[in-house]
Amino acid sequence: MTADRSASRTSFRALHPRSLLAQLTILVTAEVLLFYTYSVHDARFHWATHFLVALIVAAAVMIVHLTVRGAPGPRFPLILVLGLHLFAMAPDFVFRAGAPHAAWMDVFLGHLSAHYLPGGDKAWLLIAIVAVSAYVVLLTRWLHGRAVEATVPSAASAQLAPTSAGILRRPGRRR
Amino acid sequence: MRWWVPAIAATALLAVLIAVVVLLVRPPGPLDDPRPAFQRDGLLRDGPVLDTDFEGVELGDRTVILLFERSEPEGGEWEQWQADVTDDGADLVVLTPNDPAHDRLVSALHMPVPVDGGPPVGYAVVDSERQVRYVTLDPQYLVNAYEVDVITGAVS
Repeated sequence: MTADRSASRTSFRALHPRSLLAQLTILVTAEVLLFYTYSVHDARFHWATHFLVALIVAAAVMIVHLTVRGAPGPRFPLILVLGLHLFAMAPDFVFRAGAPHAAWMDVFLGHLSAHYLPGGDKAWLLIAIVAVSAYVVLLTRWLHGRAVEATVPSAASAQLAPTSAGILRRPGRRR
Repeated sequence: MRWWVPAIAATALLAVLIAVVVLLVRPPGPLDDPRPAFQRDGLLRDGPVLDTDFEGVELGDRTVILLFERSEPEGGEWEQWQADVTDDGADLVVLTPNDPAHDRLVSALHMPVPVDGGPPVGYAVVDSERQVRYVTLDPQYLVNAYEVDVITGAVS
């Protein structure tokens, strides 16, 4: 029973409300500052592209984590978004330090190529909405599965079959 | 956590994100390149090698910044920009549509045409071998002097 509780705590680690609130505060504060620094150089377009690409990659990482590990993760999902955004922006820091852009800088989440997507930031926004929505659907199903599991008696629980996303399903019952 | 919380939170955050991208990230203005990706891309080019003389504008032997404007720039901000971009030894040539070399240089540099279809506002950097290394529209060039410095510093 203690092991079960410990496993449950670990599964929900990435969803701790206080941690998520702290991460959201850090993310929003940092992004407002980054938006401002791009804005004073008439470069909001660049901020948006790199943020949206980072958000899409973060959503993909979280989808893979939930699907493969059967639990939400990584532990600090909103800090992951900020970290990926800073990584995608790295060539701009290098430019500021005196080095022009070069083709190899595409290793930073497609820093150069990302701007050439037809539709520009609107297209990236649409992809980001789809990616985040896909993760939210999977996460909601996972949470719903945990809620069902918590209300089902342990004997019945033993008959539940886990799906690849860690969602429990009754044998013989179609979803 | 309740199973419906992520959906509510994500909906609210995505609504804010949509508002920021749609309302605060402006589309190209009248003086901008209609292709945002090609404006101030920060990439050095191996562009064409130009003639040594364009109606009195001499190229070669030093890095030259060719600034295209619709009227003669003036004021304190302009003076500061001028000092900033030439402090590493680059020459600065200002070209307005009235200048005899304007049209020939616009053509030779392949300066982009802004959204409003008028003369370009932006700049090009030609290195000491007279090769075109950078061409961009930039109606906000006065707030981006450091970008010119990065380019001239890299080609000098």
